[in-house]
Amino acid sequence: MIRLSQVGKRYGDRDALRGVDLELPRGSLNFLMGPSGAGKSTLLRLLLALERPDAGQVEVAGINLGTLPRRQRPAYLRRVGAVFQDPQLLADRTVYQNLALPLQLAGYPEATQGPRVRAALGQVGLAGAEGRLPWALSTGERQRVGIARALVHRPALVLADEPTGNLDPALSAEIMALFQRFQQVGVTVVIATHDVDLAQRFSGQALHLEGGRLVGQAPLGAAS
Amino acid sequence: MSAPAPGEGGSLKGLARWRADQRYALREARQTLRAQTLGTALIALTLALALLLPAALGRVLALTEGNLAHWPTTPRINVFFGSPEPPATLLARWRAHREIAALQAQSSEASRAEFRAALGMETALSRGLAGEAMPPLPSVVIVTPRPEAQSAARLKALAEELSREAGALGVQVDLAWVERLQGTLGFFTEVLVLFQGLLTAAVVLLVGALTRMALLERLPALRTLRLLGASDGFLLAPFLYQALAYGVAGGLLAALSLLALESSLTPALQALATAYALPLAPGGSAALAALSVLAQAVCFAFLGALGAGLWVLGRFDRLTAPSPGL
Repeated sequence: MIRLSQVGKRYGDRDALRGVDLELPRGSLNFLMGPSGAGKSTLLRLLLALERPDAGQVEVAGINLGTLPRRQRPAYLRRVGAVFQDPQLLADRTVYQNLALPLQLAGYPEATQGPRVRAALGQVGLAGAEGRLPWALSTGERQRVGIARALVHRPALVLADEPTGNLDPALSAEIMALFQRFQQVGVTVVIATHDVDLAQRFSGQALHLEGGRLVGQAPLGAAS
Repeated sequence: MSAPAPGEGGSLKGLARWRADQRYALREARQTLRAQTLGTALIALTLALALLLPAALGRVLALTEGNLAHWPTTPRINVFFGSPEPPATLLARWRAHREIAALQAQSSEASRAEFRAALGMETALSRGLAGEAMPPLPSVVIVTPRPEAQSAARLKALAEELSREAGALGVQVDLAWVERLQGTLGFFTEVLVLFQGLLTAAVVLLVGALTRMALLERLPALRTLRLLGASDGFLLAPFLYQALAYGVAGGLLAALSLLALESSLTPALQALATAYALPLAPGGSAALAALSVLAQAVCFAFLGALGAGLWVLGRFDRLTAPSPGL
């Protein structure tokens, strides 16, 4: 699903990523770990095709993101679900409208959008919140809406940057469990997180980054 | 959330998908316009004023030029003689002149009769002037030059040549005032074109600036949409529909105002035409002019919005700072 070979990315005279080789199979759950500045967000930005690598090759589902033409980027992004540290909901649109957006973009008929939105909200524990506006939600609720938006259109790949950073431990575990459920039906999930303890509770693999290098890759034990 | 398979996407493809996206964009535009009713009305009013001014001037010029077409425009030279009849030998010579197309001789008595008829016989002034004390009027030869001799320089040369003939009291080149009027109208037409150009630019820039501001204001939302896979067209469509709405509203206002203006001015023009014993020429269709204003408003608003949209989207990555984390 994801293949990185000798990937490098520089910002000015600083190497954000250096010689990263990585292969992640379809339907895998992956936790990107490491201290701040290790290169986690840079790696996610490369996988979102927001930037091009300065060296090496980034390939997702056979698509070389380094050479992906700008006009083809939207079509690629429609197959990806992104969860941001700040959920970036459209402030003047209801929860329903925010969640319907990826469905609209992915070409789902309007008639089929409602059930999917309601199902996604139910999965993040926000059933009945369709008509609410983002400012009327708590921080945790907004984050859950952001996660629901990333999953509502059943993307092939979900990229999440500190998705549980604003959530309490119980909710964080629920959200991670949600990601795992999606992984179990074939979605590839990559989550950047500082929360090693939380990641340890799920089966998947940990990818340790440090100073822009991939320094370790190890399986995690479910509830071990 | 069972089907389709991950990453497969929805079932809408091609035209159906395009139509769904347009419906979505229309809804978005309607929602924004509804939230800013007063702002939308003011923008439409500004557009209408900017378009109405040159359109109204254009109509006045079209009407003037249209009516001018009814007036005699072939230049003529009047040569006056002190004798009761223009010299017959001279007439024979002039008929053979290579620059003269036609001649019309009028005796002194015929001139006097014409003058009396023009004054009318019922006024004290006409009775006094047309009496025995009235000085004799000159006889006149009205010369119509050939078309190739109707330029200002050739006319002047021909008039000078004719004025040198023995017995000629003087010459008068007719229609100089028509030329002056046509010159003046020509000047005003050029001013109007310039004016129209400037106000067109104003409309395009106004809508462009508004669209640019609206896009910049919504940059964070647009960035999110982009991350969700929105194409440039999808991002821009609501703003284009919004601009089209401004154009339609402003254009309709301008077109209706133009029709109202024309119908209020027509009686005055009719009176003027009657005073000169001329039919009132329509000067093109008012409805067509109104439709043209509407079409211009829509086109200029669309172009302004499209230009601003492409400007913002072309600089999108530079304008949007990365969010925390991503």
